[in-house]
Amino acid sequence: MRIVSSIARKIVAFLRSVERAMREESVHAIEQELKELESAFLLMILGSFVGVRTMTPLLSLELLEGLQEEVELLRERAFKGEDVIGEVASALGGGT
Amino acid sequence: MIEALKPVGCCPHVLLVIGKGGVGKTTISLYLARQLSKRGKTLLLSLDPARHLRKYLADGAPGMEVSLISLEKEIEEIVSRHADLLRSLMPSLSAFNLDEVMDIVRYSPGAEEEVFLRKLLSAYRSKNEYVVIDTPPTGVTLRTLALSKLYVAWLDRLIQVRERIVALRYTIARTTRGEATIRDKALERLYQMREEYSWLERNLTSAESTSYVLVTIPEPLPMYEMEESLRFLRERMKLKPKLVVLNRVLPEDVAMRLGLLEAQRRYLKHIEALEINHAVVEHLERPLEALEDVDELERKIKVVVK
Repeated sequence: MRIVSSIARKIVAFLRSVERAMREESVHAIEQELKELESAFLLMILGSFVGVRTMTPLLSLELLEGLQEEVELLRERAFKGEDVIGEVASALGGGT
Repeated sequence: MIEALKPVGCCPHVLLVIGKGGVGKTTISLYLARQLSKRGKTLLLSLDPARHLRKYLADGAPGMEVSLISLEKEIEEIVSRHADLLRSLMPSLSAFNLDEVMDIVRYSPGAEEEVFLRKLLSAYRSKNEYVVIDTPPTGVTLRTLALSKLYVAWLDRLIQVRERIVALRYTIARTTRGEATIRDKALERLYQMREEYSWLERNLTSAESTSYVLVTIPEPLPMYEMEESLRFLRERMKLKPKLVVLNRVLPEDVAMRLGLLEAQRRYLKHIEALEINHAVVEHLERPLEALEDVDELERKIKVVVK
C-alpha cells in the first residue's frame, strides 16, 4: 500500500513538473511574441526618424508624447541597456 | 452670400475657402468673416503664405478675431518642442545627429498638411460660432482633407498591434502571477487620438459643421483648379461645396473691349451648369486696400441659390 502511495506521489509530482514545464514553455513562447510585437510597434512609431517610414513623423511625435513611459521601459531592455533605436535596428537584423 | 451656405450648424461652423493663388480667396474670406461676425463670434484663420490679409488689417478688425498662421513657423515650433523629448528618449539619435533627424521632421513630405490638419482640429474645438479659414494652396488643402481618413487608418492598425501586446502581457501576468490588471497608457492614447481624428473627419464631411466655398476667376487655370477641387470633394469626400464664387467678373462692355466677353460668358454658363449655389462678384473699379473696401463688395455680388 505504501509502495502504491509512493508511486502515486511520484506520478503526481512528475505530472506537476511536466505541467510546470509546459506552462513555462508556453509563457516563453508568448514572451517571444510579445517582444517581437513590442519591437514592431516601436518600429512603426519611430521608424520615420531613421529612414524606415511607416507613418508621418508628426503623427509619430504626437504619439510619442503619450508613450514616454513605454519607450523608457523598452529602452532599459534594449541592447547594452541604453539604446532604444538600437533595439529597433536589431529587430531589423542590424546591430549597434 | 451667407444665405447660400445653409445648413449652418453650431458651434463652431467652419468655412473652408478654397481656390488657386491670386483669385481673391483672402478677400472673399474676409468678406464672409465680416458678414458672419454680425451674427456671432467669428474667427478668421489665414494660412495663406502670401499674407495678403495683413494689408487689410493695419487698423485691426473690429468684431472678429483674426489669426495669421505660417505653416513653416508652426512646423519649426513643433520640431523645437519635441527636440528635447527625442534627445532624452533616443540616445542613438545623437549618433545619427539629432539635427538631421529634426530635419527629417522639418522637411518631410506632408509636414505642411499635417500642421494644417492640427489647425483644423483646433478650429473645430474653438469657442467660436464661426471659423472662416483662408486656406493654403489648393494642393495642400486637398491633401490635408484626405489625411484625416489616413490618420484614422494608421491609428487603427497601431491599435490592433497594441491590443495584441496588451492581451499577451495580460496572459503572461495571469499565467505567472495568477491575477492581473493591465492599464496601458499607450493604448489609451491611441484610442484618444483615433477618437479625435475620427471626430475631425466626421466634422469635415458634415454639411452642418462645414461649408466648402470654392473661389475662382474667369480664366482657364483658376477654372481648371476649381473643377479639380470640385471633383475631389465629390469623389473622395462624398460632399458638395455649398458655394462657388466667380470673382472679378468684368462688366460686359469692358470685357468686350478687351476681347474677353465670349470666354467670360462661357465660364459663367459653366458655373451655372454646376447646379451649386454660386455668387458672381463684379470686378471692383480699384484695388482693395482697407477693411472698409471689403464691404463695398456687397453691392458687387449677385448670388444664385440653386
